[in-house]
Amino acid sequence: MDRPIPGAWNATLHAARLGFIRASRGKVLYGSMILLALPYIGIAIASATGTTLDHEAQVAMMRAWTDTLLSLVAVLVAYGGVAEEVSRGSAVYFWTRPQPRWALPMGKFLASSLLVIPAALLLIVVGSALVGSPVPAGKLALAITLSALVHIALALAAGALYPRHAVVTALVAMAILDLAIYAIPGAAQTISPVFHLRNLAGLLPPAGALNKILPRPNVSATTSVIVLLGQTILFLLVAAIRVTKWEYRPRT
Amino acid sequence: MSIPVKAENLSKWYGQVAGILNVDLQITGGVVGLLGPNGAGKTTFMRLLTGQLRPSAGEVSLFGAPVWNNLAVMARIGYSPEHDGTWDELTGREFVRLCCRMSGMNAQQGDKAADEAIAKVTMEQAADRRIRTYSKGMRQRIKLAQAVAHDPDLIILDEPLTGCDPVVRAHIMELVRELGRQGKTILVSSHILHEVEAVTHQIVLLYKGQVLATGDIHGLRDLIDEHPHRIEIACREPRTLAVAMTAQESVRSVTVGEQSLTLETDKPDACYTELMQTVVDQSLQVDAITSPDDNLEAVFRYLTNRSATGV
Repeated sequence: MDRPIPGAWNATLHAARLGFIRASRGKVLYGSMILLALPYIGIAIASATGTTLDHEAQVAMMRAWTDTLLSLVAVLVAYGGVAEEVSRGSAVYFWTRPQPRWALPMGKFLASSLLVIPAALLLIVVGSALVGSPVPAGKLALAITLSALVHIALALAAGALYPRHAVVTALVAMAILDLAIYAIPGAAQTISPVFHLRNLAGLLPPAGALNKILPRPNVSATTSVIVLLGQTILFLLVAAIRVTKWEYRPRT
Repeated sequence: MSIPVKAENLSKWYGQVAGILNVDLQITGGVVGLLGPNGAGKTTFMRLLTGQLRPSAGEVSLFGAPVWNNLAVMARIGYSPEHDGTWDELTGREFVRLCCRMSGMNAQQGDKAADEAIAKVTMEQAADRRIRTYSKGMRQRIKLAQAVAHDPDLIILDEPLTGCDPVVRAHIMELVRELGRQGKTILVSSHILHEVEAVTHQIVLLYKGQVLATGDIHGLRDLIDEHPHRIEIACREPRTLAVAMTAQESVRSVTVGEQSLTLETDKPDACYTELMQTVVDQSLQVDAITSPDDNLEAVFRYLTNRSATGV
């Protein structure tokens, strides 16, 4: 007897719907959004008390917001996408259905992106309107979108690889890519997503002493977009291959 | 027509530990009980059948096709796992509806099928509450609903009666029997003999990852009856009861404790009858009667020892 099979796109949408409902009814999303709003709240309080930030301070704040706080929020929202399903055992309801296994991380990627990116963009718009922005809004929006995408994909891959230690794995991977590799002067820096995010948003700090020995490469905005999208696809592929090719053994 | 479940020389290793070892098995239809004590390999076997695990050796096929990543096979099965991990943020109805959609139904079909399945497991009252708030028995029923809602050909139920009260238990058993009558192939696991006995006479006995026996449950019942039983009686006058029971033909030996008595018998049914009669005749007060051997673990130990010694 032939039975209907949903198809890959529908399966991805089912997973996305599931991820959307679960995240919107959980606490992580709202906690993350409050975390994301904290710098603006701080600035608003400072303004109310008569303290104003100079341009350098605003740039530093925006830099920290874009490549640290937003990345952290993206990781916190997304790391459980596969990991929680596996460790709680609920992935079985997805994977014993006629759906490709990789549709689970893809759907969760879609859901996390649709939750994090609009919320982050909204915050930026409102925050910039209230306290001003040191960089052009269009560049910043692009950087924010790509930052969220690459970090959501990274968190999903970490969760798919090590579901029982997903958040630690994701944070360690983030620290290596965003901090350690970025700290290396010269061409190696261009592996780090943070380099490209700052490059896109115009938030790269002035060249340091080490850059005199190993100069920072000049990278176009288009290259940065391509690298960030490539990294997103790479992380998603890791997650998809992990869930499709290998089983998850139960705790014995 | 292809065989619903076929395992050939199937083994699954977790490092040095064998979850399932060289299992050869065919299930051709009807309701089949998968019996075994805890740790026998029932859940591992079911996980292999549902494509959650890949065999370390051998093959497993459903309806003549391998299971892993086979969407056509997945479309024909319904599975209710042993554990309680579900999408707790969803309501029961949302959960079953989503499962129907994931089985390939459109929204209208899925909603209808989900509502029917929820009614079958008598969960209408609680269907719009979040699963997070459900009791163990309610979780079992909603898991069962998602397993049957899309009308699968093969239904695999891992310990579906655990945590259910007697009324729900009876209802689920009747539902399983009804699905069996409709021509579904159903594999039900349990470590409790009488649970399986209530839904089917076809059984597969698993012990330490291996199939010990397959066939009719009456054969197992006969083996249990051959198996020397101990009956422990907590009572106020164990010596009086011991004297009376020693005279009974069914009793092999009697051990008297301070406020208890242990009988050993080859004929448990007869022994229970004689015990009850003696208690009534002599107006003795009995606090509890238990049988430490009346469980599958003891029976399996007995069966494996018997085959090892060639008795």
